[in-house]
Amino acid sequence: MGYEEFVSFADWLPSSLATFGLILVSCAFLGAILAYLVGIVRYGPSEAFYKLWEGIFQAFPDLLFTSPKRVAAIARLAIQETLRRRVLLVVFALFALALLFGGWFLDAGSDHPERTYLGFVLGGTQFLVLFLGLLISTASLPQDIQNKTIYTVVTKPIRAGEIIMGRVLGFLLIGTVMIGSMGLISYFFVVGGLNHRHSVDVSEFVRVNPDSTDTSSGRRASANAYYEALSTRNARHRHRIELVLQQLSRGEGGSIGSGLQTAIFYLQVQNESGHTHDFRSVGGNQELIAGGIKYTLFEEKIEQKSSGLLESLLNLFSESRYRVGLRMDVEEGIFENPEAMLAQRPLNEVLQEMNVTLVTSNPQEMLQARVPYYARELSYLDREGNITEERGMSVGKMNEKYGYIDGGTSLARAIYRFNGLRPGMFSDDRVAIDMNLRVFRTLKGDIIHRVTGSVYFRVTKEEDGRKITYETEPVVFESQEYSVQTLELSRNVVALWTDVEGNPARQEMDLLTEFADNGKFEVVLRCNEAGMYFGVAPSSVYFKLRDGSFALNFAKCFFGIWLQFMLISSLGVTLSSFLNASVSLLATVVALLIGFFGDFIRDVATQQIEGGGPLEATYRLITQMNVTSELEGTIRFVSYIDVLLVKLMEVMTYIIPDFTQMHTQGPLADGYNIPVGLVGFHTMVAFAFAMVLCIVGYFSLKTREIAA
Amino acid sequence: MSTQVESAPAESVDEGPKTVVETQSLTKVYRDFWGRQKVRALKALDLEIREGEIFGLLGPNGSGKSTTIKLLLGLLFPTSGRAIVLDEEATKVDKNERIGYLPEESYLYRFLTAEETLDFYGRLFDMSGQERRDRTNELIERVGLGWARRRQLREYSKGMTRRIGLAQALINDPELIFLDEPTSGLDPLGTREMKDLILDLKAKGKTVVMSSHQLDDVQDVCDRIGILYQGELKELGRVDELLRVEDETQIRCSHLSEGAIDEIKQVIAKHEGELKDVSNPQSTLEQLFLEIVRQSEERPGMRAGSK
Ligand SMILES: Nc1ncnc2c1ncn2[C@@H]1O[C@H](COP(=O)(O)OP(=O)(O)OP(=O)(O)O)[C@@H](O)[C@H]1O
Ligand SMILES: [Mg+2]
Repeated sequence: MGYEEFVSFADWLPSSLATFGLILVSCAFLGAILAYLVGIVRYGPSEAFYKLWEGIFQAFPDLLFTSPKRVAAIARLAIQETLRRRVLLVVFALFALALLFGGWFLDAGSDHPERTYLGFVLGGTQFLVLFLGLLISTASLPQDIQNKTIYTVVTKPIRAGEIIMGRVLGFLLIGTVMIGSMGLISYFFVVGGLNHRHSVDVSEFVRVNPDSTDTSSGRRASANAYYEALSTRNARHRHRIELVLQQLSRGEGGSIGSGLQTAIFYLQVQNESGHTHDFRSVGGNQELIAGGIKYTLFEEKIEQKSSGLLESLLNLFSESRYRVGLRMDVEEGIFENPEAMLAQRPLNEVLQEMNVTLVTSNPQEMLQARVPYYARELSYLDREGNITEERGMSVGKMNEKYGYIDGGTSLARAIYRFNGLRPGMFSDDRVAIDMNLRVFRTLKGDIIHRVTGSVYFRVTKEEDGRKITYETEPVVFESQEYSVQTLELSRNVVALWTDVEGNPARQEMDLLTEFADNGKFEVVLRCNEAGMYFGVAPSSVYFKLRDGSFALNFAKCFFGIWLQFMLISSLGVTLSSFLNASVSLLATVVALLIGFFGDFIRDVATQQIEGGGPLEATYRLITQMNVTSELEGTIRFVSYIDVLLVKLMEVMTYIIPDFTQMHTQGPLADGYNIPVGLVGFHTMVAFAFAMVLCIVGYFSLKTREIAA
Repeated sequence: MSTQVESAPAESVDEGPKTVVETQSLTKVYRDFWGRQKVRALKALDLEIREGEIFGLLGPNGSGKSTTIKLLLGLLFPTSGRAIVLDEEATKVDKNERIGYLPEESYLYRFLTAEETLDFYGRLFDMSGQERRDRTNELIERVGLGWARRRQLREYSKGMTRRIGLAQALINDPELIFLDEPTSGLDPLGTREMKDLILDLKAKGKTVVMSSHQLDDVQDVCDRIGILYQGELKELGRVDELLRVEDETQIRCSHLSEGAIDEIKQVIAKHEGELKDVSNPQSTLEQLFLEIVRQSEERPGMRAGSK
């Protein structure tokens, strides 16, 4: 479920520019040949050649010396015309209605309510906006020609290209305003719709046995949880709230016999439905002294870090969040361990006596933009420590292949080679590793019992002509299936190695600056239990860099819709320069469908899907024929026509850009940052296509006999 | 300095006013969607219009007047032959800088006001803001729409639309103006104003090509006319020459007494002439027009200059 960090701009720009240039040149060449053939029919070969030459010759100054004022005038006209048609109002009303009624049906209690919400607003906006683009762009020019209003325009020194570009620009401005406002409304709809609080009845806190798997909620407690309670049910779920021991300190000097001085517990809200909560203010510190212990209920404000202007602006609207805890200071006497302290007076009683009301903040970690940093290479080692498979990491989400790590042997492991991690990429002096593992059991056993694995860092450096391998102590973790688990580790690691004399050596060092060899090091993953396997893919393990801004991610996604809108409107305008309104509407819809279902069409073309092409499929549908049975008799001819049709459609899929790609809803809903490079790439593709379309529009309008 | 002044008139005597519109066997055949021939709207038109003249295209409905104008504007492509306007092929865009066009019906954006309309067309000429404002104010006053300048064209009457259409055609102060039936839909006062305006344009040295059914309009303002009938040019020449009846003399006087008229009758009789009519003179262009239509129906295929 990872999204690959997009290759950098510099990597793809030259090659794709070359490809693009090639496509452009061949398109131009084909277009010229086509135009010449038409010309021959109309004027005869020599005259046609002369006209073609003249047309091409004229195109350069016409397109180069486009007047911004004339383009703006046409853009303004297109906007005025659209505003008058009231179609914008209808679209906006539909959007408002969808949000109004959609809000009732969206299930905030599902496993990933944010996906439902985001899918809803993005899908809705996309549909409405593209529909709008279709309607306004294909109607404008034919209407102008039909009303003959264009007579007074084309007899002015305006160029055909300016008429096309002006329209596209005008519609784009309308689209910008529409998408912008829909985006803003959607943002608050999503955030507002997902916001909810829970409160906690402190009398419900009960003691947990950390070793037991049997808890009130059926889930294992955190290792240091001492009390637990369930929150109220809101948005159709409840969270487990734990009182977790965070810190213990002994008397001065820290000598063994001096006994406990202080214990600090924090209240933690456990993840549920893919999110957690912080707390609201409990109204300042509260103290209670009983049995020689001072109990303090305290709160710490959580600083909201904001990246960029947009984020800090949105933070102004969000509430303050607090971390709430209970601190115990020993005034008299000594306690050997926390248990003894708790025996004095159970904390649930303390909380009850303090008469606190706990209310959580709005959800956290629900709408996020994780920034994964993937390894460059991955290799799998088998039980004997031999490399079974090695691959470079160019695989994205779609076609990932899993490899397996044998459990219970220290030799079988997966080695992820990282390169280029810098301290500035993380928000503090910790690094976070996200793991998304599959667990396979060969033994019948206890499902609740979790399989443990371990992770350590490794690096091999050349020192004085010798290769020395440094390793850190393994960190053991319990695998969580079906969800991303995050290991937060200190950057300060203890490196172990064998020195020149063959003696074991150890030293604390910084993972990224000292341990790593020029930014290169490896993450080694092992499965600790015999008879078990971990299934890992290239994107299963990655470093989680400082989170991106969700608001910005959201904006990027809407920008993707904007790009699609641009393509639709330039396609609509261009097609309507030689087709009438309804035919160009139809043609644009077809192009849109091809753009959306390119993959599917290619599959049909390469006969990976049963049932044949459009005609054959229709025939089968009408006669209710099984898709696998052979066509018989004369009806077989449809399959031959189909081959042609499908080939044609396949060619079209390469010409029309992949619309689904531009809409980056997937990573947004999954909580991954959309790489800027990807957005840049889509922008380039979209603008290139829009440009080509405008040029096609120029030629077709210029060669059109307006008054015929 | 002085030599230039001397040489200028000499040149103009040699060449005459330069040609601004020229057609060479210009032919237009309208075809349907399948390329089948529908109407031969214009047949081998040869025409030459010189700078500074007002040229009138006359003809019954469907005779090809509008078709000719659209060919000259590049709105239609010729089936054969050529149309050259301001020394360029009619389909070229550059010539549009110097021409103005009033279509047969004013095809304007009905959701714009008069001001916005003129401002929009001004932008198409890449005019600066100040220039557009000045020009807009001037033209709105000139066509007498000052009172309705902020109303949308949808609310305009036919004559008002015609006026704003004319203003639109003049936004760039063109050298060559095509007016397709400029007086249609105008009241008598408007017609008079339109004619004055056309004469005014002529006085400023502009060339006007107009089409009309209103024969007296054409007679009043045109220097030369061409009469089209079913796509063929039937008559072409100076209005005064076309209308001169060689063996008739017309005498017009005012404040003449009965006695004086008798005296004149006697003089005419003495010279063996015959007095035909003493009423006010009639529009004889109408007679010419009807004559040509009648003749064409009798003798199809007759063309201007072939008689
Ligand atoms: N777009 C068109 N398609 C087919 N035929 C056309 C078209 N426009 C004009 N025609 C035909 O061409 C002929 C000439 O039409 P045109 O409009 O030039 O006449 P006109 O002299 O301007 O007539 P009017 O005085 O009524 O304006 C007519 O027979 C008309 O039916
Ligand atoms: Mg006409």
